[in-house]
Amino acid sequence: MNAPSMSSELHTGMVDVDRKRLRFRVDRRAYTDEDVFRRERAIIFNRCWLYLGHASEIPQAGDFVTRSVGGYDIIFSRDASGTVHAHFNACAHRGSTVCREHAGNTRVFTCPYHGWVYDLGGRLRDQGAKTGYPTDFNADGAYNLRHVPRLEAYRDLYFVNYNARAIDLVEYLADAADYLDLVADQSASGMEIIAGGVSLEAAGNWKLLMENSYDAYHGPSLHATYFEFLDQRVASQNMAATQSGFGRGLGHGHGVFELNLKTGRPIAQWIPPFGEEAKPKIEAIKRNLVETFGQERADRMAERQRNLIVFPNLVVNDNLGISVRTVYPKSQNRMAVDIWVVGPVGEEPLFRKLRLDNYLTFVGPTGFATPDDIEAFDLCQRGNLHAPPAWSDISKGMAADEDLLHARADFMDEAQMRGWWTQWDRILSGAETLEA
Amino acid sequence: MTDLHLRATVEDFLYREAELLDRWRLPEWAQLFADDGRYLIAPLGLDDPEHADPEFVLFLVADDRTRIGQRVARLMKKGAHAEYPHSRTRHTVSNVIVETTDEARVWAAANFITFRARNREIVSYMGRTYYDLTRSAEGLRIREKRVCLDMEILAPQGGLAIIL
Repeated sequence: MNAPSMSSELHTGMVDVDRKRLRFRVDRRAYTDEDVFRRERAIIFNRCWLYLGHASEIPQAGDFVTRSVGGYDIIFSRDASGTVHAHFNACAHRGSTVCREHAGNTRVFTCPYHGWVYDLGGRLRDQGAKTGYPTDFNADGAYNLRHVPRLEAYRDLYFVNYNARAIDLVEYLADAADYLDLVADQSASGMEIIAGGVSLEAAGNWKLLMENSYDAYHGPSLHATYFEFLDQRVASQNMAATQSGFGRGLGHGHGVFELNLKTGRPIAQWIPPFGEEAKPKIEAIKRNLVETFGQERADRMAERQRNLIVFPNLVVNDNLGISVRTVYPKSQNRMAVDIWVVGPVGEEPLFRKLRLDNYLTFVGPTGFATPDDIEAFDLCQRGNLHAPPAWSDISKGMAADEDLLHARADFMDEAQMRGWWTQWDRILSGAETLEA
Repeated sequence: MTDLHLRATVEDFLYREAELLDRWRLPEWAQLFADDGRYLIAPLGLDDPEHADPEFVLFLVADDRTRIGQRVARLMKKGAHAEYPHSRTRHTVSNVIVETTDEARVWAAANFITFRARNREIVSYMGRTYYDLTRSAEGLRIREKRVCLDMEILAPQGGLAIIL
């Protein structure tokens, strides 16, 4: 355990911890101040491991995906030898965006401006011109596509780090790695991203979505209409009232809440709305999990659900339809969100249908709950902007001797959020560099 | 040769559907669907959203008749915060093409622009909708309404809580 020693600590002054009064507060300017936004981009997103993509998005040699990660445009690709790369999507010549497609398969990337050609490994193959350059022009590789300083993977999840001296990904993930295992282990054939992910931009500071993503406290109030819908599906069960579980910090600002909410899971918790045909199949999947991982872990995987956050901005909702999200600030007042859905490779059509169906009713931007979260971000940001300076309270369930990065409390409490904000404060103030 | 009477019948149906949505008469809108009717919004950015299958690809909306009723029931509640107070919408339908091969079925396609005004802001959704219609004693009923949006991402809209 690496509990922060409070005496030698640097602070942003934006996170107020009062252990005597059991009070944990965040200055609302953290959500509205342009300087905070600039420092977050410069420090948080340049020191932390950021989720880039999943191996299943580029399964074949030549496959590529382009996306924005922490303010940088990245080409995520697999070369002929199977090696995965992450290059900055800017030509070494004049900086033009080289690859303009969202995804595809190719042998080379050709810059549209002067025709510079790069192979999948980023090596400059051709400048489009026959004359004007010495023969050893790119002998030192200075004109290759620039590779990100660090690219590492954990269980098929690829992350980048823009700080070459950063600690390794596995060390960074700390206790969050175990929660990623709980997802990856659900299928022996591996997990894959399902086609149809969605991106959106919404009003509100990006940190509002982070807090919201593992905030069970808002469920019964903001999502009352969703719980009414669920209760209709699983007859005579009051979903909001029968939940139980815990929330905890997982080190390095990561956090989770885990609870038993009987919504049914293709892997592997049958409920009557899934139909009789699915019952023996889901029970067989459960037996396999028990054989492989033991009763306790199999029960956890199949019958509980988790909302995990890997600091700073990766959300993994391991529930009835597993989804992955990232969120970045467009400005202090606006966020950009990418959402993907995950399922086992080769999943039976019936289960894939259930999974997608479950996802659609809750977490999608057109579902029965997410639109109301998006509304809440807007409402919070308006209050943050258009009311006198104030503090946001994140005290629920706080203990006097709490180790803020590893605290554990009821899932309806806010221990996991206190871990996130503690790490945010440490990194932004320079107390934590995340360097080896 | 387009059957002008059929075309007028379908256009009238689409305009009345838009009218119900803009007036937030959503329970009546739900009644436009046949018992096996589906309301779909295809994923963004697909090359061929017209033929995508919601059982294999993640759609934005894939409601069967029951879910259509649940969606409408939710949207009519005060607790559907994203649409409370209700936004003002204007569903505009054009470029209608109608085809039919037998007495019972009619296919139609129409461009749309739907404007949504709320909180002093206006956003719009654009695309083409494909209808699989059936003729019943009460007039046309929807077997499938498939909305194919042209936007690559939900920006600046943020979400999509209204019915398109």
